[in-house]
Amino acid sequence: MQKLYTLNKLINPSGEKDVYKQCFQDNFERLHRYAFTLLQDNEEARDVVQQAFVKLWQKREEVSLEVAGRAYLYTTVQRDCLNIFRNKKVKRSYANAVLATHKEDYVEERAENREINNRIHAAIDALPPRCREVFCKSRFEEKKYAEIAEELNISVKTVEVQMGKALKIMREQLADLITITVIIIAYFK
Amino acid sequence: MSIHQNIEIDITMLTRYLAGEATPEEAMAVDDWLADDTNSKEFARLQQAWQLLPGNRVHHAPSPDVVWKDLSGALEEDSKPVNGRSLLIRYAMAAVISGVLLTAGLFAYVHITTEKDPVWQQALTDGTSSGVRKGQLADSSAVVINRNSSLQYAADYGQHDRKVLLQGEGYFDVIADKGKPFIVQAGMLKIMVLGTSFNVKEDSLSNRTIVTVATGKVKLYTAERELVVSAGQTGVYDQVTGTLTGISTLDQNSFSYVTRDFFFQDMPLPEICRHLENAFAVKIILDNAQLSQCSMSAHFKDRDVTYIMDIIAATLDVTYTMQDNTIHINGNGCN
Repeated sequence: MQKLYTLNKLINPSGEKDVYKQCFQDNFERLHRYAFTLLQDNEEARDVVQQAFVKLWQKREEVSLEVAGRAYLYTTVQRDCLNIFRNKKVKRSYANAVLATHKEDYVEERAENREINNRIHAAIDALPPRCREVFCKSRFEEKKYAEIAEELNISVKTVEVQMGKALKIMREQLADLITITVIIIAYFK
Repeated sequence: MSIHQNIEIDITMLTRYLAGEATPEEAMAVDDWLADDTNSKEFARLQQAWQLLPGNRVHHAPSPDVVWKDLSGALEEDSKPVNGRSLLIRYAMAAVISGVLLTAGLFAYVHITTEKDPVWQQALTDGTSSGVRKGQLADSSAVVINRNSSLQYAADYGQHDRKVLLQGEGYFDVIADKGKPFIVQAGMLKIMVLGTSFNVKEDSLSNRTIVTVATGKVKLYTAERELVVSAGQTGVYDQVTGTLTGISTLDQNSFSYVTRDFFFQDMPLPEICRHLENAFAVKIILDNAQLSQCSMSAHFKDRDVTYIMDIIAATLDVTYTMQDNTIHINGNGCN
């Protein structure tokens, strides 16, 4: 729910920073998750979100924390992430090329997870063809919905629906793996 | 109250979110939806399924306390805003002058009293004033002149300096030449740079002239006053009182008519309409006064006005008609 910071500010008009801190505590983790969805990188997401809060502080005279602070943060995070994403694109296609030439090492490194990987790949293979094609382009080639739509000559809406369908099937197929993965993640944290 | 509560959270929406496709409005709606415990458990399962793929990265938020410490440190170094009267100014900003510097320029001090009025010659005429015109000046500096605006250049342009006279709104990308300052005259206000790009617009409604600087520096000056405006700042000239005021931010929408790049942040519909009217040759009329209560956040890049109107209509749940460059917006308004 959108919080209203007004009352706080009225009681303590000089407590601008308290209001700001509250705004940070309410929004930091959500914004970080949002930034992560856009960047797929925890460190970069942290930098972008922290920078957005710095900008909000600099603009506090004109962006009212109470009214527009949250929308400002989300919008700033999205814009900055998309800029970084675009710039990374060139580097990433290079990285993919490198990865392709070292594919054997890559597979070897992950051998201990082979059992799980087989299950996941089986689940992906079991997706309906169109659904699988869209899903793989998104997850493995890290393509945006709009790019996938253009490549496959379908609408973005169709991509959205196919992606939702794919995730729903994957979750059901791999329900037992989900808890396992949680344990693995917890272990390596 | 924001409008994102109308966004429906289903599997398609959540997948969009995980795939990094969610707009800020949608992300906020998802986060509001996650406040519910059942929803957040459902989301955790989806997120795990999403992250299961081999080699895929897993989201892990750093501790807010650690980040807050860093952030507090960064804020201590931050200086106070230049000026607090920004609400009014912001309102006028998009409509008036904006200036961008692409390369940092030095500026020379020029004594106003010694300046003579040059002989002006018309630039970039196409017989009409109805379209946005682009072109180059003698030194290859690029200019874009908005609709209903005109640009003249001095007969001795490029000899000792490069003077142009602007009425309305114009964007300049100036070739660097330290010896020959580039001076835009807009009414009584002059803006001097040595090698830069910027946008100028006079607004007769608010009687203000605003210069917005993205990078580098410009100097604004009148017969009595001068003001240096640096990157990320805005200079405001009040045409009535003659005062110059600096504020510490800029409005990216100042350049929208050149860049076709619009940033609407929780922006009221009437203000959105003004930006669109400025950038496209359209007139937008709200058929219902209630509609001015609506606001939305969006980012449009290189989209035509029809596309933008479609998105606005879908977001705010309103309808519109377009005929002969006049757009009527219809609907029940927002609350």
